[in-house]
Amino acid sequence: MTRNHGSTHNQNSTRRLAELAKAGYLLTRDPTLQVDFEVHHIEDVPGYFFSLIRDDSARTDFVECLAAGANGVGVVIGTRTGSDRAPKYRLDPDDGVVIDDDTTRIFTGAARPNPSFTFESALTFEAVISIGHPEPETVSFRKSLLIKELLGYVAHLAAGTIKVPILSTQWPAQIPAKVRGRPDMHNIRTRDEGAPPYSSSQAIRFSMALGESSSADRLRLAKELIRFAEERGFGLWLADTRPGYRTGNWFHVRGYDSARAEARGRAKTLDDEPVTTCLPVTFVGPARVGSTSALLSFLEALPFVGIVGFSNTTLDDLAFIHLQLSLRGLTTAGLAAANRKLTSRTTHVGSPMDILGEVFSKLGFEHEFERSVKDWSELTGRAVDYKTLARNVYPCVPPPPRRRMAVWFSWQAEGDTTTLAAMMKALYRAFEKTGLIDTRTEHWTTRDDSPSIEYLICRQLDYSILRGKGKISMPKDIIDTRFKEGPLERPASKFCAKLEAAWQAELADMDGSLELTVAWREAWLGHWLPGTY
Amino acid sequence: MRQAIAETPLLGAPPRLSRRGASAGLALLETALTLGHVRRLTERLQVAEYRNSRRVTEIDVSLELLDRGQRQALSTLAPPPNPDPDGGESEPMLWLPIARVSGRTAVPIEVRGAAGNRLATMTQYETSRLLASGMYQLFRGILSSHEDAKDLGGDLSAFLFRIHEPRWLVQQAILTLLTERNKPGHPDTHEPTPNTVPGVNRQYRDMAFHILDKYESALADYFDLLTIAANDYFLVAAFDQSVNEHFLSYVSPLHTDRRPPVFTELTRRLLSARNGYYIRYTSTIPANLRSYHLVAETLDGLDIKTMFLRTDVDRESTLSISADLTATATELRQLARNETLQAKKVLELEVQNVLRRLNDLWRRRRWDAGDANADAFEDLMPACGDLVHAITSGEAVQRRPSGETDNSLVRHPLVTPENLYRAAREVVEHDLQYDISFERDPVGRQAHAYWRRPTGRQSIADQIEIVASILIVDSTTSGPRTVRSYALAVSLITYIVASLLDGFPFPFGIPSRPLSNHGSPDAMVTVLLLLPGFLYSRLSLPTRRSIAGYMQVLPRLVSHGSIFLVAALAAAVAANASNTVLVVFFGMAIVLPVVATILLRDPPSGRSLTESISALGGPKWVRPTGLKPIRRQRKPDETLSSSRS
Repeated sequence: MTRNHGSTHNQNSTRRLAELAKAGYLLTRDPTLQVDFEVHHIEDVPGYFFSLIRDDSARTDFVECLAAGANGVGVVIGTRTGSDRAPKYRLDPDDGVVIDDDTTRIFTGAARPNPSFTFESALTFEAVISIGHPEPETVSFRKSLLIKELLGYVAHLAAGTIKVPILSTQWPAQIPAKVRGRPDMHNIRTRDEGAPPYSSSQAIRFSMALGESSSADRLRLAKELIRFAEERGFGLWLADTRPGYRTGNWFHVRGYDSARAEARGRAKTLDDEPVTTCLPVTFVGPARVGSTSALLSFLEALPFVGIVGFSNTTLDDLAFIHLQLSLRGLTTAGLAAANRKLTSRTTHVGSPMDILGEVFSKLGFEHEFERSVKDWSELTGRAVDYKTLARNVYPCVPPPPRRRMAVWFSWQAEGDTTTLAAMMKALYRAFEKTGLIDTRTEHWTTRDDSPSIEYLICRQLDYSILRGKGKISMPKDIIDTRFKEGPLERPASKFCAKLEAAWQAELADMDGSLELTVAWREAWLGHWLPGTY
Repeated sequence: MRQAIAETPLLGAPPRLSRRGASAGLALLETALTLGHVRRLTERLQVAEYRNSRRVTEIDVSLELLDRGQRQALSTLAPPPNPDPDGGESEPMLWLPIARVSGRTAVPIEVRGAAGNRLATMTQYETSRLLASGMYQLFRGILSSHEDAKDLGGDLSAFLFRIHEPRWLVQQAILTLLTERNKPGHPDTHEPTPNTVPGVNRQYRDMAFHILDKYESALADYFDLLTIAANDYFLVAAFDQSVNEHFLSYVSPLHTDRRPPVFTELTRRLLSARNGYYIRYTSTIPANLRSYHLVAETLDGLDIKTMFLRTDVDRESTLSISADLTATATELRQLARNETLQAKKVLELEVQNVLRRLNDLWRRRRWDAGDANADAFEDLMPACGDLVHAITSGEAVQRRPSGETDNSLVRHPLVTPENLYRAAREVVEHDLQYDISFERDPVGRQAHAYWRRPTGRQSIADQIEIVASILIVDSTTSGPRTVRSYALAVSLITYIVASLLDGFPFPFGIPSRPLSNHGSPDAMVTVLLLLPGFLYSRLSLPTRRSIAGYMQVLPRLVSHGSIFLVAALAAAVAANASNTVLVVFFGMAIVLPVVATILLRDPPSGRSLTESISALGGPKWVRPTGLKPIRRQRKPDETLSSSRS
């Protein structure tokens, strides 16, 4: 049974085995071999994350964390291992959900991680597929079905065709700025980079762990994606894997072809009504290959469900799959009634199908659900033990009329449970110093002209190092007018430099090594190697 | 594992394994695999005797480089602190793995600190119990996160939660595998007894086998880890936590290859007098080690002429570059005109990707080659040179008829499928995966080779193989010279004796005259034995076992032969032998030593650095201009390795 070490199985580098051993000892610190997690479903107000961290008795002591927001609905996911398990919230006795105020639901629990899911050191294959123009637009139900189809395609491609795990998926995502194909590109002196791209657009960004991939594997995968994108008229960018390029450098393969996409879409005459409500659902379970694909096949079997937002990541070997489901015909008018019905749920433990089955029944899709789902076990096989967290329907907010640009930030610090809160608190203070928000008053939380966290991920790396990265969106006109100083430097660059300096100053007295960057181009973010000086 | 399960008796209660030790055991394992806290590894080879060398390993450990999680986990089993003489509180000690050595080594290893004091080390039994406890918890953790674990009717949930015996069997098997010194050999091939059926005990075992088989893919990495834990010996020493930087050393066993047949050995010995004594030392170091330092030392009178270190740190990247070059070449060849623009773009990305990596590898090797004066480097690999030029020169082609510039690399005239195929062969054929590091002019009896991990890249290999070639020469050259004088002296003395007996200048060829009638035989024997014997005792021939002795096999033969001839002559004189016999003996004792001095030449002044690297097992890309490619590499006189092959 024990194989000859060092044989043909060369994928198992020492590093990977060391990661397995590490996952093991982090796991065995907890006597129940579980990881505590916390999931917040919120109405995405810009200050929510700040409210979590602003008190000194910080409510978040996450080590690893994911925060994402779209359509005015947000999610904050955090995990902690081995720390104290004192309950911080008053739990609802029925299903262990904290009802913080009218719009916030906090789910707490513990789940078994999968220690053999170690892909930190693997090479990734990352791509962006866009299904629309970069300008944000209101999503119709028909489009939400298309999004579901696209997400399903990506998940099945990873799990079925090449059998590798998906490391992260995000919808909506930023479409890279267009550089190629401009008439001035052959002369470096007249080349212009163009305006900062929209902070997020109708696009999916995903990364798969390819192991020690070869050109042949990557070409095969890329060709498969090209075929799909071409057929549908979707835009496609691949992460630039050339040495010297890094995350945020994209290789443009094809742009969004509206003529082709619309010709295809027009054939179906389904619901063109804009989606105005959504049901946030988070699935939590041991990370494994194929779970996202299984859950999406289940949703694909349901024609009355579309997807308007999606975030998927792995924290502490636990997979978190967060979706915003759009339900056909459910509008803001029926929101209150729907939420009332949802409070009377009785099933709180069971497979995703059991829970979602009841939720859909309560929302009036009972017959359609039973008609659509035939073979249950096939559909969620690999995710049958996942916990399903869903409680309320939220209103979907249409995209703001003002153009928003992204401000990317990243940091790396030695730290523990308090580091994330300290870093983010300092970032908010830095925003305050640059004059963009005023954290003392409440009015800065107006959605339209405040910075808003669209994406935030924080992970623990070797040598007790926490590494975080995120994207905050800002109205472009505010930056352009407030930071315009002469023709040489772009206002966005000026702003990022100022913000970085202010952030650094806020953290001047922090112990241990600390690195941080702020940039409006993702590729300009610092990437520091652990264990180097 | 399977055999361990088959041969372990059933248990009635769970094996006693400390739960607290589980996390410490896995932390030990992780720390031993990464060795992130080792700043530098120094190996000192002391080479003085043939087939008897000594190695001292020195390690610089920094507790600061330990990750907090590792520290926490390891400190749970901290030994109590040394009593503080001032009566204050002192920090507990920390057990820390410092090396992973092959478990087959049976030699006990003593670890010493900077002050020469001996450090406490954990016994293998203690280490393996901790590992066993950790490995079992990890096994359980992996299986219980499997989706089948939630299925109440399934085998997995029964195995994990209801039916305990198979689980205990696995637990006991892990414990046995890790703690037993010897590993299972041949499986039991006893035939099943006739007229019996599988009983309950059999069912327990079969269930354990069934679980291992069914979840083999989920447990694949786990079994690799178990193999390492079972086969390697982790050297775990106790460290004082109040000091961050530690320095320690230990003597570790060194294995020599099998002794060659007598004739081969004699040939090698004879050649080594001219070409030097060639030692090859092979070892492996953890792939993520920051730096490695090899020091070779010899005794006075022996100089290290050349020493270089060859590592295969770029093995994986070279192989992947070669494979990717082939893949892109195939793709480029297939790229027909009707392919879409997007397919071309993706290929462009891949070609650029692989050529940039090739450029990086090529540049490093070329700089290495420049350091070693290997001028023929670029001529050896023309296709690689072309491709590297294409990627770095920034040349674009003009599209016809529009005249537009096309920056696409796949359109570059040098980027052809043929060139890509050829380059794929070249990188492997010319050993681009090996880097070399050496000291340009080693001084006297000590030489260094210093290697450090290239920055920015994580090696994906498990271990880096290092091969050091050391060439030792006899610096005194006293051996051949004194022996030559000795042989001449013997010849001269015999000649004088013969001349005085018989007539100057040609005392031979007159067999009619009786030689033996002149002088006294006693006095002659005395003169013939005493003088050469006295001179022989003044010859400082090196001891047989030493390396100098190995190289001076010819001088030794000549001196022994000379004294033997004189002794034989003296015996003939004493025995009053016939005239003819005496003439022959005199003749041999005069002529043969003179002939032998012609054979005893001084070693040549030496070859260039490039030539010696190329001849002593250096990578194929090290080749001086004009040297023929097919050149037989020299077989080492002695091969040392850290593990028994």
